[in-house]
Amino acid sequence: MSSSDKETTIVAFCCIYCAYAAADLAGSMRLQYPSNVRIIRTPCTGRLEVEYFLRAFENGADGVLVAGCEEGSCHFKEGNLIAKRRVNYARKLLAESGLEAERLKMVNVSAAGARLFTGHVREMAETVQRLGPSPLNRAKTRVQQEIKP
Amino acid sequence: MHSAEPEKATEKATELMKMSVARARLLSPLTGTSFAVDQTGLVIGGGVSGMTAALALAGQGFKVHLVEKSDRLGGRALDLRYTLEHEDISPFVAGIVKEAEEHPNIIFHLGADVTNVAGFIGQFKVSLFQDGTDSEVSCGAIIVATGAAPAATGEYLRGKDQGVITQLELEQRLQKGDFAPGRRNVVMIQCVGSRNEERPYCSRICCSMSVKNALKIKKLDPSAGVYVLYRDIRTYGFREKYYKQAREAGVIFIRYEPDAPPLVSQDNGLVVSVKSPDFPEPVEIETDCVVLSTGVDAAGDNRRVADMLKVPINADGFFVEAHLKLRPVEFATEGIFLCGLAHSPKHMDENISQARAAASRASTVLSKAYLEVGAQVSQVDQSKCISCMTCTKVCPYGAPTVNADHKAEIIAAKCMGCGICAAECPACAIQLNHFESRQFKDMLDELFRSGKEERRPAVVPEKSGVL
Amino acid sequence: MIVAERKSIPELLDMLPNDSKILVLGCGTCVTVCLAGGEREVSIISSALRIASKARGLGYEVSELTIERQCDNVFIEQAIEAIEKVDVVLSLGCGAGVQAIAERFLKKPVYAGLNTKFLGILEERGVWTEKCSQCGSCVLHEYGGICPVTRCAKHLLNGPCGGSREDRCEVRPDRPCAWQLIYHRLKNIGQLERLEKIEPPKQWSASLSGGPRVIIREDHRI
Ligand code: SF4
Ligand code: SF4
Ligand code: SF4
Ligand code: SF4
Ligand code: SF4
Repeated sequence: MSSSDKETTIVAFCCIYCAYAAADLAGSMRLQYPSNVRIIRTPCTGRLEVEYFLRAFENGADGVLVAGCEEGSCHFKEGNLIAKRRVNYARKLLAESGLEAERLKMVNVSAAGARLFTGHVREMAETVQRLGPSPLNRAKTRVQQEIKP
Repeated sequence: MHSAEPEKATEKATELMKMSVARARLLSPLTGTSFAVDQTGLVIGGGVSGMTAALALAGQGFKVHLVEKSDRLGGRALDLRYTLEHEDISPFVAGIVKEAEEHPNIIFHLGADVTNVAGFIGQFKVSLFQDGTDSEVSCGAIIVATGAAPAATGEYLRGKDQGVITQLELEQRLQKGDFAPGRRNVVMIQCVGSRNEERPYCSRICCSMSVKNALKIKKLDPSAGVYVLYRDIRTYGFREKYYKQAREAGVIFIRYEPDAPPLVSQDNGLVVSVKSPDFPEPVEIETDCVVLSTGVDAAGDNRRVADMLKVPINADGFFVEAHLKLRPVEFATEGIFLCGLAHSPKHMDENISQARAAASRASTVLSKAYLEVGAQVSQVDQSKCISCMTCTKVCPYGAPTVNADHKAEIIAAKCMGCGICAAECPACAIQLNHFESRQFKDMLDELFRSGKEERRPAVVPEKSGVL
Repeated sequence: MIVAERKSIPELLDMLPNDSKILVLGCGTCVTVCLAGGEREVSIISSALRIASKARGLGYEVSELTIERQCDNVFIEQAIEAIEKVDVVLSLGCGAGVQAIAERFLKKPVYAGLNTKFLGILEERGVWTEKCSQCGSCVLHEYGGICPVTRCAKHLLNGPCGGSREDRCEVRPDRPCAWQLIYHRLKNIGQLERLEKIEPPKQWSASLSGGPRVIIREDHRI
């Protein structure tokens, strides 16, 4: 996608055991939710490295959702709790680096939580709308405009 | 999906496809390894579920260790006297105990506590503490059938008035014949200590139990007044028949709402008053016998057992299966199975079916002389490992260990493939097969790569998935 | 083990010159173990710097490298090429590592990305505690293996200050009173009589107070 025609992009890291299934279910239920979300499948939110969250933003994501199982029902016992602390660490780094921490959020959904999942995506889309596109993208657009003859 | 915005939906599909292609460039074949299986089972818990499971395995020719904490087989079934169908339960329990005791393939460990579980599917080492001594047994699969406990309550003057008893006590008295029902009112209160803040779940057995005891009383003496104060009657399945019978026999069912529970007072003899949404006025019943349908509590020891086995329990303290529908009698931790009240409150027939199911799943492990381990496991790049031991601390399954070179090594059979260690290792020395860091990073790069930017050259994975 | 902690991103931004090429250089030994300066941390800090640079238009060009040990020339060799390509090095090694790099590259600014904290151990997941302050003449044998120089907030060598409350130190209530620990430990190993001995004032000249220290092993010199 070239940055000119792009609106905003939300990356959602979804655990196979819950959120990914919920997203699937949302599809079969024909639930409508923001189409600018891009889902990346993970065997467990505990697999996700702090770097992935940062890299998504570095590359131009406007919001990142990390969706794991409900607390206490992680397929791998505590992967979602570990993910939560990594997300919190990444949020701190984002804030230190000049990006709003709210752009990154950890949510918990069960495999049956299709509506909950779409609700979380919608909420993130609203957050992104309220905050505007990522300042990284704005800066890029500005530079590109300057370069243009 | 996104039917209102077809262009955007297509754009989404294209991008997801691009990302997947980026990842696919980095995929490598997965190959597992195999190891010998100890074809012996171990069942924790000597109640009806545990014995049923042990017998099912023993009957297929497997040796089974049956570990029971108390010094008696039978578990909770020993407290029960008859079933809803009015069969006497003790001969059944005695029969199954005898059958188990006489089975040459079952090795009993009565009065024994499980103190440690090491190893993994096919090769568990379970430490037992029995009569003041420690011992160790090996097995290839473990079935958890640790049961549950009756929930105690102090509500409704329980413990303060002789006339307030539990369904279990009523049942025992009815069977012994020292409960004279003649010309008296018996008031049963449902959902005592269930479906509340403390125990949000339905204990499932109490409705049938009260119907069972109410029918028994009515049978002994139709003139007895039996009142059941309930929130919802959950005599599910064919048990509904007995609910109908009870109504026909003249048992009076009165609904109450959770925010207006019945009141039991003892100022002028026992009086139960209840405000039912179905009656305009509150109802008062004079009685000398209030029977509380107390629920089922998770066994207090579950947390300890769960930690040892590295399996999850829910907020209510019951064990949680890997998947409600797809893997209902096993845990995510391979080689460990589940049945009976340890899983959730339910009736004996359901426990028995579940125990048989658990045994048949366990026999899929025990029937193999060798097992293949899944290839979606994590591996340590020994040249990058700095022996910080972070992975040994974060892994929920104790899969990483220190090898003879003082480096971390992940035991494939123990690894469940969550990738927690891979994301935590400060030296980036661990990769989870099929979900490698580069694959995630390339997907993220591809998603945001503008058409003009060069795609990074596809790198041939340096290491294949072969162990 | 050397324990260090990352500096905050704003601190790093203050330190690093705008419009420059920066190498974030990790160290694969002590600071990797304490989760402050290994390959993962290098990648995290670099990513954060790129985000900050893009968000604020700072013009950084960030590259990453982690070597085995920054305090050894053999390993520093492996970083020469990468260092020569950049304007500044942000070292995630301990203080010794940063200086070793700086000494080796005379014209290259080398900055410390970490605060080197102390010599300690991992107490539990995510918690490191200080154990030794390198006083230069170890007296651990007198105190049952618990260092009063480091772990007693007042560095008392002859018994507790009397301020300890419920086993906690009065100066740092989040830490146990070292003297309580020493007492229990000596009791356990049956050496309580050691407490009767009066320890003379410590020779602080062997410590950092005597100026920067050097160790010379004649047997290892040519
Ligand atoms: S976390 Fe990484 S570096 Fe540390 S012991 Fe495990 S594999 Fe080795
Ligand atoms: S992926 Fe790592 S943390 Fe997860 S089970 Fe395997 S070894 Fe343990
Ligand atoms: S520079 Fe040397 S002493 Fe410092 S952290 Fe690295 S290996 Fe350890
Ligand atoms: S006495 Fe000195 S050298 Fe010994 S542990 Fe304490 S500070 Fe370190
Ligand atoms: S309370 Fe204990 S540790 Fe703290 S200063 Fe006093 S003696 Fe030292």
